[in-house]
Amino acid sequence: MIEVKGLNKSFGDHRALKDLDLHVNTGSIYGLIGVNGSGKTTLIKHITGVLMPDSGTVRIDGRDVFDDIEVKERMGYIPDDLYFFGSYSIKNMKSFIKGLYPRWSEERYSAMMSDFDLPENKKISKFSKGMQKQAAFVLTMSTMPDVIILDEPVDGLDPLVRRKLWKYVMEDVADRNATVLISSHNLKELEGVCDSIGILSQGEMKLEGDLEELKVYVQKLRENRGEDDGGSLSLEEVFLYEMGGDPMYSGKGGLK
Amino acid sequence: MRTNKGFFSKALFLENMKRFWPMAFAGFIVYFLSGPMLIMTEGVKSGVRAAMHYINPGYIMAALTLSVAAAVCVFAYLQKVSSTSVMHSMPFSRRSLYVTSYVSGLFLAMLPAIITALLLIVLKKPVYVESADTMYYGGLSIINDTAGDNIYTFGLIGRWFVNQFVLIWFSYTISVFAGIISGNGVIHMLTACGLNCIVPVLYVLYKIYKNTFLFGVTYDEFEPITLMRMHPIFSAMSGSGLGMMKLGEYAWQIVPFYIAVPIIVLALGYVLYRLRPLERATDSYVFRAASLIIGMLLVVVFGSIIGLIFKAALNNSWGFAIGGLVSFVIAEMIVRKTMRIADREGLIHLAVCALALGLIVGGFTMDFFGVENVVPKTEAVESVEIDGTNVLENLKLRDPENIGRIADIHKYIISRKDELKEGYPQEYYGGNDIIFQNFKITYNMKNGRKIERLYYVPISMICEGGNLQAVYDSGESMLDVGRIRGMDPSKVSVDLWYGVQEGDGPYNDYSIQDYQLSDAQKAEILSALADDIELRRSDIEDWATKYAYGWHEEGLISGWLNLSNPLGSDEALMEELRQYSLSGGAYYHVEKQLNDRGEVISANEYLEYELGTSRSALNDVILRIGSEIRQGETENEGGGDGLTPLPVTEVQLTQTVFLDGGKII
Repeated sequence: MIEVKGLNKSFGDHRALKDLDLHVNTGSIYGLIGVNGSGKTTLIKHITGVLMPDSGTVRIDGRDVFDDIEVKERMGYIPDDLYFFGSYSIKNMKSFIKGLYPRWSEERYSAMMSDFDLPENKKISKFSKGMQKQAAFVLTMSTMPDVIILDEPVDGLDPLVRRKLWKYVMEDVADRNATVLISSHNLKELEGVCDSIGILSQGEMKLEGDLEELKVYVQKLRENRGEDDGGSLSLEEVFLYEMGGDPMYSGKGGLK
Repeated sequence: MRTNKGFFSKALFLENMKRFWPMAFAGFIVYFLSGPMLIMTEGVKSGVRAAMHYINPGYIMAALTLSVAAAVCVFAYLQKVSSTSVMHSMPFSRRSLYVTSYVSGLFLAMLPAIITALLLIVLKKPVYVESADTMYYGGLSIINDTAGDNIYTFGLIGRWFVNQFVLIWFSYTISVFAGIISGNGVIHMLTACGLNCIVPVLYVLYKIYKNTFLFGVTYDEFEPITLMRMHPIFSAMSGSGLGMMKLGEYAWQIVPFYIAVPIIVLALGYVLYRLRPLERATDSYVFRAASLIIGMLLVVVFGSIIGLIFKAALNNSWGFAIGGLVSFVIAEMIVRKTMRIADREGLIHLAVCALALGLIVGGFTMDFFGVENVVPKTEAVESVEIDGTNVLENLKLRDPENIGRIADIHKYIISRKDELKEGYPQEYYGGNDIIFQNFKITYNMKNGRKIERLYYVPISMICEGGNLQAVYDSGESMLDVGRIRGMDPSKVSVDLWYGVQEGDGPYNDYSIQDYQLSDAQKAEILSALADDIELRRSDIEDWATKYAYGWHEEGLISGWLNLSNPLGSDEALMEELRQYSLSGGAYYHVEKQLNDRGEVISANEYLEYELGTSRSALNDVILRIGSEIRQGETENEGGGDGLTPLPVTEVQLTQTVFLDGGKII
């Protein structure tokens, strides 16, 4: 379970996160959405223990993430901005990562390498952006993480690879009860995999809750306003509706 | 065994070795070419000197470059957004990342020295010194060893390695600290170089400021011990500290610094790493305070340099304002990584920098700490030396009365500093006849410190009040005549010098080294010298007034020594000068030669005595002997060398002192 409470972070005069709460249940897939600059990546960097909060807590299964090696051993993170050691191949990276994560699965690594059809000995820096993302995904998922944090995971991937990627994520949730947090602008894909959603705006959690409940809630709002066209809402419509701004629902919390 | 749960990650350490070994390899090539290669190609006997020499430039260059490069490489992950995010999301704590990266870099930087030390051990075989003072290296230094010493031992290799370790550890730790506060690779490298030399640079500036602004405060020599404490590079280069070959005399005064400074910097680096705002990767500096302090240091250093150049060239202080402003604009753009510096933060930085530079310049100009007026209390002074009177040179006055007299002269000069600062006090000192002299006072304090002052003052000012004459008349200023009378002529060598005027060219001194004086002649010289000293054939007042007279005469070449020496072209003038001039100061000193263990292996006792007065017994003796010698030489050469030989003008007595167990007997 990922639990963020009262998180604040400022960069100079700019308040990037404002008294933010977030809750991801164990075994669920949480979609984090928001416009550019809303604070998604900053929030993720707190959840992965990269950044130190100004105030507030970030806990995974009840333990503070920051500087907790054991928590990080159970976490897999794929950032939007990938990084590999210069001139390293997937094989080189594997030998490094394997030494850090106690639950590394050679079996899964082999299966995924075969599935994604990646060259093990070629320099990663020579890969296309999409292939680099696949390499990061293979290496991360082979650590058998209980908590998976994905920042724009399907950006730059073709539909076939995207489908494979989601398959592995869903399997981990189904088979190992993994907890997943995904940040993406691809709302249609998120809608297909997420069971709960958080909408971030200007560093604040504008709306958070179960996806289906959230759709029903927004639909009722639209009905009350006479805006309902009778069809069911998509995640994108919910997002746009929220971003369109109803002062009543701005601020922290939203639907619980 | 998994070790990454604690403070050290074996996996990361090994990965760093795999990634950065080429850097260590390149370093080893330089080490190898600087040492072991020479032993292998030139043979052990001649190669071993260079291989373990304390100022071997190859070692020093490699050690410093490796220290900076290793820090920049292993901490490079901090300087990019992507790498810093990935590394800190992995199962590391900040402590384990810091410690592991630090150890990795140190090991990489040390590896070439470790391998070189092993090679030196493999190549080791006894090398004995044939005779003392015969070994030279690169024209840079003479190494004194006792004949028969083995200079290629495990102990000396170990000492060499310890010195390498100290130099690298110190430089590397500072370079790591630079990485913790820096936000990108280029700034990291520049900051590492800058922080490694900032303390010596500030020390040099401090000396220049003192000399420029404070009345009488000298641009005195850089005390080796002070410089060595600032960075082991000075120790390595001086050879008298923790030299590469020598565990010199200062070793135990500087070793605590070489241990304490890296430990403090390492601990501070750790604290800052824990607090490092990773989101500021790619900025110049990740801490606001670091931006401010580094910017201020840049302004102080470059503003001062520009200001001091202006001051020296134009004698005004506008250069500090101009230099400070230019330095501020450039420094601010660098430390904030933006051209837009005209904002609130920029104004605050400008105010801080202006305040810092203003305090420094103002502090020195107005002498905030009253340094100009410092005259030590007599009871705190062990001895005092003065330079600039010619008659009392090279004497250490220990008598409290004499120390008090010199302090009184000092106080008197200080009381007139405003006049002296403004220029020549013409009226008081008699118009154009004022002769100024550099007058230096050195107090050797009981606490080991030294206070030095140098004043450019009218000669008569030094003599006013009779203090100088009283010092001269005291027994302390007299050389140990008994010692001179006790010298065995057969053990004394006498170096005679004569002056030659080559046409209209300069007057030169030449030594008559070939001529062996008989013991009788040497005895006569010693006796005459002792008589001169004992009978005090000079006096201060005479010196002061007649020196002034002599200085203004045409044809005098360079100061005191030549005043009393015949120039040949104007015998009438010389006769007049001889009437007034004094015998110069006698300079007695012992020069010792040490081996690399600091033991005295030989010593020479010198007594240098400048001739000059017609009243001097020694002058008469020497002139007569010298003329005889020159006469003989001229006859032998047929007198056709085109030079005008002049009488002997100086005598230098040298007595070789025999040693017993390293002590002079």
